[in-house]
Amino acid sequence: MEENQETELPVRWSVRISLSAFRDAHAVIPRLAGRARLRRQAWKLQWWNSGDAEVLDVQCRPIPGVPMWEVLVEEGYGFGHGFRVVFVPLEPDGTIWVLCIMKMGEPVTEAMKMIFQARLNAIVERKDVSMENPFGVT
Amino acid sequence: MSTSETSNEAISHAIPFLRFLISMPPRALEEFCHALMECSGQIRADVLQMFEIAEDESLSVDERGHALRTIVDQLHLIPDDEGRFGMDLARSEELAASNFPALAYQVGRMNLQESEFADRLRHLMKTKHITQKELAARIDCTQPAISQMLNRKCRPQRKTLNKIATALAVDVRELWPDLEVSEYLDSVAEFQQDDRIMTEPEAVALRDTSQPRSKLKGQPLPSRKK
Repeated sequence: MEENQETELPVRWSVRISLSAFRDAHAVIPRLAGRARLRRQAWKLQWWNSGDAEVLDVQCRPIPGVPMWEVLVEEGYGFGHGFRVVFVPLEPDGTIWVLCIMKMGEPVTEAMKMIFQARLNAIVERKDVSMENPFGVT
Repeated sequence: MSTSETSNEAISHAIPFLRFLISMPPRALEEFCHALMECSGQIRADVLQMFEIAEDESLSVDERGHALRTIVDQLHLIPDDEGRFGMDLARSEELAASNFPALAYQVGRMNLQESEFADRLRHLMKTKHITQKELAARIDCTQPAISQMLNRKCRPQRKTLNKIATALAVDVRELWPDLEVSEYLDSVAEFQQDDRIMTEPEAVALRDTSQPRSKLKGQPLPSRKK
């Protein structure tokens, strides 16, 4: 059947996670199986089309007041009603950085926005630094 | 703003930070100060701001926790296996699975579930003569999303499974047979949370009302405090 031919989506982004977000995941989902399943949902961001309100079957939305987005994962894995994966797309690098993992009901307060910004500052400063060659000597 | 007001404000901002420093054991304090000195001015300012948030009792426990985890990341440069900051999401699963057998088992299980789901979905679509486009339209998603599921590259959410089952007029367990097992395990995990309070309907559901209540009274357990 011609219409059933499978067109592969091109990978648009490399998805990286900051260690703070990784620790967030451990704090909000203490169970390994839940974290592994959440990771598979966040993984879908590699196919995200900039500015789209969804990627495959997950919803995305911009966070008001900051140049960041969040993915809404509507599965609780026994630890809530769902989770939010806060991310920032860094266009020149083609990299999406996962900044924070939050519970669905957690509000994005001014303090949270400061936390996101602090995490982004660290990423912007260190993303191009290789620990094997921290001074970039060739 | 006068100079004294500015310095007073600076001192008030530094108090949570100083309180934290005083509480540290000498060795940790030394390492912390080294890490702080090696940071750029921007990161150092961010660290101080995170301390303020972490110490602010008017904020929620979640917010303070996020602030503390930010400090840990900012002061400890822990590169991934490629020597870069942060971790590649795909590689982190692969790497962690090679180090932790429990995760390796979980990853293998997820791969198997996704692959079996793709086979079942493909079979159902074929028998019901439904194209990817038609299915996408029925479940309000895009054709590439269906394609990725069939190519075992996308793990569907529970709500998507329900929509697909409805669209194909099948029971959701025909698509994902161990869905109930997963839900059962999730509910067990939920009950293991420290702050979880059982609701009245849940308590009633657990109560065995088929047997009369025993008249025997047990001895109280010795208190651990005694």
